[in-house]
Amino acid sequence: MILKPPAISICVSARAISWVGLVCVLCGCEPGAVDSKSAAPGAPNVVSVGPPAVRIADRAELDRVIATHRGKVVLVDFWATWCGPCVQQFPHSVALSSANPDHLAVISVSMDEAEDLERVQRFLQSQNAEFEHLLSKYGVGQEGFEAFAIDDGSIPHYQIYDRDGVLRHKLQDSTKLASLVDALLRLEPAE
Amino acid sequence: MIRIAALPAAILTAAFALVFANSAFAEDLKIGDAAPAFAVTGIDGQEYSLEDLSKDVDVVVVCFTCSGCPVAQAYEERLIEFNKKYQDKKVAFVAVNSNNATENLEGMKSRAKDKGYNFLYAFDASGKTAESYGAKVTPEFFIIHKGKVAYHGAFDDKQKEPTESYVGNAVDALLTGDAPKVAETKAFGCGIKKAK
Repeated sequence: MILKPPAISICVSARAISWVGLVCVLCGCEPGAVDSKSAAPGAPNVVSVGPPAVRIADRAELDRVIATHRGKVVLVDFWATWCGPCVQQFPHSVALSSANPDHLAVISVSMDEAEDLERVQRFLQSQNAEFEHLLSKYGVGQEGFEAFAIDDGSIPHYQIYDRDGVLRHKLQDSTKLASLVDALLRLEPAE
Repeated sequence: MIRIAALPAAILTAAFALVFANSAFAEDLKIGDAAPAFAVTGIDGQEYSLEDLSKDVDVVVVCFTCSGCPVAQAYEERLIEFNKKYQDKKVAFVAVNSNNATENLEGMKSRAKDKGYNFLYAFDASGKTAESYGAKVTPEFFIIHKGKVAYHGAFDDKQKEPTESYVGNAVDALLTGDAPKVAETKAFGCGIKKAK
């Protein structure tokens, strides 16, 4: 499920450009953030100036997303807007993502309540976090921490998967992320 | 060679290391283990020990919490209701704040006053109580019955619209002489922030 919060999307029609030079059409494309990366091939050029897309996800969805990155190292950052250290440490994940665009996939999983979606998006936008974002469907509670196997019940929590999709590390301390990711990046996939 | 670019990262590293200075915990208590003795300072300035709290009651509920964590704050009203419900029963309740890196007795006093706490709120200034119980998050609960840990975990199943009150059910069972049906759950919330 993709949640579509209010956002301004500026759609530029190629045909309109050729006809009158430069015409910007402010479309009422459904209210919502349109992620240019997920736009279908051949779709009109879409420039998103809204908040990043955030999908509500359960454990199966997270596993599915991780599987789409087979061949890359995957870092999952479990965080929440209510968690001070998570917010403080989030730039580490953003920096790692920017430093390894081809070989590392970062996925953020917010453990906020679904009703806090806009606050989640505002934060992600402020961080220029250009990777995939999920919002736990479980809300704040035991179920979510268990579903995502966050053993000690608190966030920040990081999980790092190797290129073969095998979970290799669980940790809380973001200062160790870079070295653990680097070590896994040096390993070739088994297949 | 000194890499200038690495300096900001080093400073950040040092700052985060302070936040996560509390990674060493005692081995987790198990259900049936003897409850470790503790002494904490109430916001009234008095010392309270587990021994004091255990006098004339059948059950002691120890809640590791704090003033600043939004999850802990979401449970304040539930703790007040819990204490209203059990005030005439043989139940003692203490809310222990072990965030000695970030909080203090003065802040706790004002939080308790603002929110109308009807229960004992006490500071674990050394952080030793959290350490001996292996408490890691706020809020996190231990129920002690006859000197032993009878329940450990969350207050209920979720912050929003809970469907099962683990602590309430466990206390009810213990008061009628039964063992709690659910004795262990996963506490969730903010990490306890203990000073080095």
